Amino acid sequence: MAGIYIYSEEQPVTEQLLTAGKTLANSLNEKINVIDFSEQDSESFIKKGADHVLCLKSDHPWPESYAQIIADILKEKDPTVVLIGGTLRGKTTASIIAAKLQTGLVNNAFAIEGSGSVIETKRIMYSGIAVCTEELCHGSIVTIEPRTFDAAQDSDHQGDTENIDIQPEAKTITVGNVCPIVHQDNDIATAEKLVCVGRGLSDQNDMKLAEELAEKLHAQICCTRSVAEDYHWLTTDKYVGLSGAKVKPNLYISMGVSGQVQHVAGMRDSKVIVAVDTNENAPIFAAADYGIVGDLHEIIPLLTKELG
Amino acid sequence: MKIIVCYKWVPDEQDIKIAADLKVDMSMAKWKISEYDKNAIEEAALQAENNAAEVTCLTFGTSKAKQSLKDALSRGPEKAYWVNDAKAENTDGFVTANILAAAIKKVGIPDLIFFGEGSEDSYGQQVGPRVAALLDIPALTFVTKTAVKDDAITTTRSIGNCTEDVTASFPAVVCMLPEINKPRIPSLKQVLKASKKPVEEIKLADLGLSDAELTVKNKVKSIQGFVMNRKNKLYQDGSSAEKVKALVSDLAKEGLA
Amino acid sequence: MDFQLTEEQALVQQNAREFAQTYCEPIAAEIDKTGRHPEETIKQLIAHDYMGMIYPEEYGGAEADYLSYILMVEEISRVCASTGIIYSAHISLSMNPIYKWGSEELKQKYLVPMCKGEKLGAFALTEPGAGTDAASGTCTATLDGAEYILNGTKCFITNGGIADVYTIFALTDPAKGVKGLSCFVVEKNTPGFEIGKHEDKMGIRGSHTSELIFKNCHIPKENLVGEEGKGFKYAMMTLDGGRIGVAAQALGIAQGALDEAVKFAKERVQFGKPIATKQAIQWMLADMETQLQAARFLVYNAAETAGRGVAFSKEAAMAKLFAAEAAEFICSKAIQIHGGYGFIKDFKVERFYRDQRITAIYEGTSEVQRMVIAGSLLR
Ligand SMILES: Cc1cc2nc3c(=O)[nH]c(=O)nc-3n(C[C@H](O)[C@H](O)[C@H](O)COP(=O)(O)OP(=O)(O)OC[C@H]3O[C@@H](n4cnc5c(N)ncnc54)[C@H](O)[C@@H]3O)c2cc1C
Ligand SMILES: Cc1cc2nc3c(=O)[nH]c(=O)nc-3n(C[C@H](O)[C@H](O)[C@H](O)COP(=O)(O)OP(=O)(O)OC[C@H]3O[C@@H](n4cnc5c(N)ncnc54)[C@H](O)[C@@H]3O)c2cc1C
Repeated sequence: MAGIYIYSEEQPVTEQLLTAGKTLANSLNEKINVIDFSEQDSESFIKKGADHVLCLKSDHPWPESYAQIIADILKEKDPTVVLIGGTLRGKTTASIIAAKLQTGLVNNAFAIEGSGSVIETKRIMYSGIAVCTEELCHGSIVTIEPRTFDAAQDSDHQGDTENIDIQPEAKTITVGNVCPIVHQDNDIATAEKLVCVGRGLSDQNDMKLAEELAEKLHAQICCTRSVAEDYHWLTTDKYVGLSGAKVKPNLYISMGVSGQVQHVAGMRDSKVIVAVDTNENAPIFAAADYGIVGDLHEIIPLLTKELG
Repeated sequence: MKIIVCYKWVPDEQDIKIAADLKVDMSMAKWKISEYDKNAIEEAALQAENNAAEVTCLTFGTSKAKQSLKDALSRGPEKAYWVNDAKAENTDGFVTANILAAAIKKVGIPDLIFFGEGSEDSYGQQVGPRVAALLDIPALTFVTKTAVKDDAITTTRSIGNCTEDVTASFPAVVCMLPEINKPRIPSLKQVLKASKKPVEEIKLADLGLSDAELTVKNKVKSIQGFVMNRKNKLYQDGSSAEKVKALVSDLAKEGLA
Repeated sequence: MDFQLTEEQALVQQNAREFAQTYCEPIAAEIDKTGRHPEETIKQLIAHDYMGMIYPEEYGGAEADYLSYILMVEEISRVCASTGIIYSAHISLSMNPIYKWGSEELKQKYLVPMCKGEKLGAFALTEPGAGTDAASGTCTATLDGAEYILNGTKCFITNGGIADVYTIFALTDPAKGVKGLSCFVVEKNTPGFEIGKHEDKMGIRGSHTSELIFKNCHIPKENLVGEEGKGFKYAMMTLDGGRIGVAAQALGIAQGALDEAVKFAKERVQFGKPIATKQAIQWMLADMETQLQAARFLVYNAAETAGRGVAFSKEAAMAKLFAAEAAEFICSKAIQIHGGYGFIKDFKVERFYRDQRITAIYEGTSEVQRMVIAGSLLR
């Protein structure tokens, strides 16, 4: 048996994985199978390219607890490759499945390509300094972060649905107090424009400069890890980088951000990057399209004004 | 309560250079305990202080990782286990997890096993939950808070768009997010005491793992420097106001101002 | 000779580096500018058990070896020379006489809280009229029943006004000259003991240097350290150790300057290429590194010798002499490599250059070091 298997506990992510899955299916000449929980979604997945939807019916609320069941199914199906949505839950689930199946796992792949029977993935290493290209073993699992691909387009694709009744084993776990993170403004991960503040701000009053600029641009404000974790001027969901949010706005303007690799790893997919920093040797300028070497206290108000 | 905290000895990425041919040059790199793992070690040290936990640490590394043992011990653990094998040079999450799980079984499964959220070098983000799966115990990942009561641990997980409290009875694997704590710089007395703490070397051969379990799954074809493709335009002429004007005019051309 | 650090020393060095980077580096420029004593750093030194680094655990020390201590002074000075001297004046100058020659009672009363960092120390030998010629001092200590009465003025005292405990030298028998000098412990706020003027200095500006004035200052008889008349010997033996600390300070400053020079040379582009590609710059860097390593060998060797408990006056003198001169050379070249930027306060080398200058002066000028070295040759 073979096939490409796709799973995410989040339906929009599954739709994005279908985009990657379809390209792979073409070059490998394989079928696309989607594993999901809700029958309602299967129609839409099929339209977006799924050949087969396995619908797991259960009411257990903790997505991670399905790992064993998905592993059992995959063991039986012996897939060529498994794509799992690289949400944080997804990466945990993927790791558990990979261990159960004693197979390989590439987390956070930003590219995946098949040719003949060979599948290659790319992911970053050393905090973003390097890219690692791997050739997957048969049946390897790959996680791909949300928004790496756009959602697949609808078509008149045909496919079928299979319902599977399951009972996830309730490990010795209880889950409670689930609170959605209330993003003070909008979620920076999906923002069109971002103004990023770093430790170059002298004190919290300087946040005003960023706010005024953001208001002019209709941008959201984000920051470096130091600003969130050491200064607490913004909450931790607002910091960008390897261990923070991955963002890819159309415009990213940084002020007083040195541009260390761990930070740049989270923003370098932005369309246009602008940097303002006093240190002409700051690595941020290598990551930027446009840069001004100067004091943010002087440059940013001028910029806000000039934007009219 | 017993805790084993796992850590990895990694090159400091600040010292990694990318050559003109995009090869990754690590010859100048100093090695260190992965920063993410320092959060796990600190959390274990806090458990030792506040809940009298008995903490040991475990690493799988090459002979070079020997340097890390006393460093780790200075951060709190009372004993270090070191699976010493050249295989660590070329490993993956699959092999590492098999080895760590086997080593943990060998020394005795503790109440809690702590990990960082990923290793600083390869950032595979899988070894912790893999070890949990291999030991058939729960994996609590992306944890920002821990609280131990009786024979259970309650964690707050921060998973993208929500937080949730998850309680697991012992034994369990817990993987920490960096914001959980601020790893302290060990005190001089801790540093000096570290040299007197016991270290136990574990030979790979003693773990009873098969060749298949020790063979990496996905084949690394290349590791190359990331190429930044940016315009890198710096406004150098004129007054600040003129520079800003030039910038805004360029942004306007991009349809962004 | 082998300068492979032991595993423990390497770990202390790493710890010291992390400490310096975290606590000293971020405020180094500011305390240089404002001349503020870095109280918060002292708190961290206390929290990290560094205040009694080389003294026995029974007195609350950490019982580290001497070379480890030298590594600590080097690492602190590499980012902040002011903190380097505040620390080494406490450890190797102020505490040493109390530990070596003080009564058990004095140790319990002063050494223990000093090891814990509850009390900061200073060492007062120099007087306006007695610098290099320390034997010509005029401060007196007159025994009066159960007390000594101190009179006179000390000057240029590191940690003066900040310290809680002062190890001072005064004549108990002026007629005997050097042989009449004795060592005492004086607490801050003792009536008759006042802090005079604070010096406005060229470098190490975060470290306070002050005048101490004694006017009929009564201290308990028990505060005599060791025996009457042995003060000069105690002072000279203590300075031998202190000199290795100053040598380590010079070494740290020099390393800091070289680090900056290398970084700058790689970043600064002129004529289309980083200046590091120019041979003129490379030769400077090569000379700097060579001087630095030579100094390091002498400093570590002196520390090692001191740690072994054998005579080390000459080793200490050579280490301080050479390291101070190397630091001046290296800091000067580091500024040269920086060009105009090196002359601007935004760049660290400007501070390093000012800071290094004192290392050829205090705890015995370079001339004194040469006298010690020659003296041991010609004995
Ligand atoms: C394992 C690991 C993971 C990490 N993950 C992340 C991550 O996900 N995200 C992240 O952001 N960081 C991360 N970091 C931290 C990262 O390495 C940097 O320390 C951090 O990004 C630096 O933040 P910064 O640019 O605000 O501060 P700094 O590096 O201190 O830079 C401040 C900048 O401001 C400039 N400046 C100062 N004054 C002015 C002025 N008046 N006008 C203009 N410019 C001025 C300075 O020249 C400097 O370039 C991680 C680190 C580690 C070790
Ligand atoms: C910032 C700072 C901190 C200090 N901290 C302390 C402290 O904590 N405690 C303390 O006791 N002192 C301290 N001192 C004093 C310091 O040790 C003396 O300044 C030093 O010993 C030199 O003495 P002097 O300044 O009187 O110079 P002088 O002795 O007057 O020397 C002037 C010059 O003459 C030279 N010279 C003198 N005698 C001879 C000779 N016989 N042969 C050849 N050349 C000679 C000297 O080398 C020097 O070049 C400090 C000084 C400074 C500036």
